[in-house]
Amino acid sequence: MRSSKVVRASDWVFAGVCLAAAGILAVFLWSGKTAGENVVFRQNGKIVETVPLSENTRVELHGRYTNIFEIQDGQVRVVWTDCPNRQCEHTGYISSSGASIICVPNEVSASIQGRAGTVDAFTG
Amino acid sequence: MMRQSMPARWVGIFCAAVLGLFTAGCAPSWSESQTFVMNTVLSQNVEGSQDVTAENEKIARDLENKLSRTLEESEVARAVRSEAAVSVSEDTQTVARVSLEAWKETNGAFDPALGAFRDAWGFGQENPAVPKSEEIEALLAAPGAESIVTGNGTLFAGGAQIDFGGAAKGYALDKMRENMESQDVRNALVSFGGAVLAMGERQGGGRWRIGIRDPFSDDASSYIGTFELSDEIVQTSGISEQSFTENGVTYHHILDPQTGMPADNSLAAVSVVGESGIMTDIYSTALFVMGMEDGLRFADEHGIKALFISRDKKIRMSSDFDCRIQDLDSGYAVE
Repeated sequence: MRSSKVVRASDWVFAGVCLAAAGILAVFLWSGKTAGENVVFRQNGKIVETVPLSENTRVELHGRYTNIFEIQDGQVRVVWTDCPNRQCEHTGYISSSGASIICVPNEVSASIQGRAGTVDAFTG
Repeated sequence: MMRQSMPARWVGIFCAAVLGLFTAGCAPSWSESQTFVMNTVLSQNVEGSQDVTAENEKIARDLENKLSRTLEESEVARAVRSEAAVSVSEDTQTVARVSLEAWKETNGAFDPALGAFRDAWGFGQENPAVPKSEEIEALLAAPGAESIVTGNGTLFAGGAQIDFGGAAKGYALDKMRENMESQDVRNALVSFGGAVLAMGERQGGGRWRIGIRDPFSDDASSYIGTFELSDEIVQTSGISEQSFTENGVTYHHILDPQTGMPADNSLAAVSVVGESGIMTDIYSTALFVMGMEDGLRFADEHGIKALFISRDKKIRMSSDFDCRIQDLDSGYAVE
């Protein structure tokens, strides 16, 4: 005679295995989004380019003025600009998540994003 | 009673598990935005829709249109040009009233009438330069904050060069928080210039982690330490912003109203934490101008949460500063 129980013990075992598998999958996929740090470039508030921090390259952003950013050995800096006050150039470099270089006259920013556990924002 | 076959049941359980985990991973939704307003950047990370961040941007822009001293048609610019009192909005009147109260409370360390001095120095402009001493002398003799009168929906400059730049961003953060609270937004991080508004918790849980930027490092992502913040605002005034070098001397942008020169004391930066954006904005400037000892005394007497960083890399905190500094840079010492 078959059991009249709707959920049997074997079902619970299988459900547990499924949950564990799904959990591992979710963690894997989630961590994949944050494992690498990226430099996110915005112009007028909109993301215009995203480049891995590990990639040595230059990014030029043209607007009212021009900013040339350099990504080198995990650091980002403005190496040239024709903006009036050149504060972006004087900012120096950034190298960790949560930090940004801002050019107010050209309404451009470069922010490092991606590594969990670092600061969410800077003051000062 | 209808019974499912065993495989169908397993598939159902599996799908529910996967759906549940991924739903939990995706929700709730957060919105990010960035815009340039009040001569700085406004960055938002808000647990809510893009409508919320857009409204916050509009709040900042509307306030800029009222409070800016450089936009010709702003209420402040009109008041400065006028020889009589001009009608102003409730926002402008509030910022004027709070600024004047703070000017008296801080014995002039916070001064909302330094517009002409800022123009003379050219901070944030193309060619900042040290003004001639005669020019500074003339500006010191010109009408100042004591000439400003506000009330009954009007603002009278009385010849003073009003500059609410030391209060406007903090006030804007207060208004943004009001907007978010009215829409039941619980978690948000809003950075506005050197100020940060932290509401609730960060994505994934836990209090927001704020880094205090190292004022001496070439690495702008280098911090002297971190602290956790929730449902408060932190504002920092320091020597690293808008500074320039002339004849081997570096000049920072925080002016001492008594001298018209950059405040020359032992401080490199002052951070103030509190619930009011406009007051943290005002006090961070005022305490910097006062210097370490007077600033600490004032903060203790007024229950201000303040952290002082000296140029010789020593950190002191007011008795009410209750944020625990973590990850302290080994080059700095807490006294």
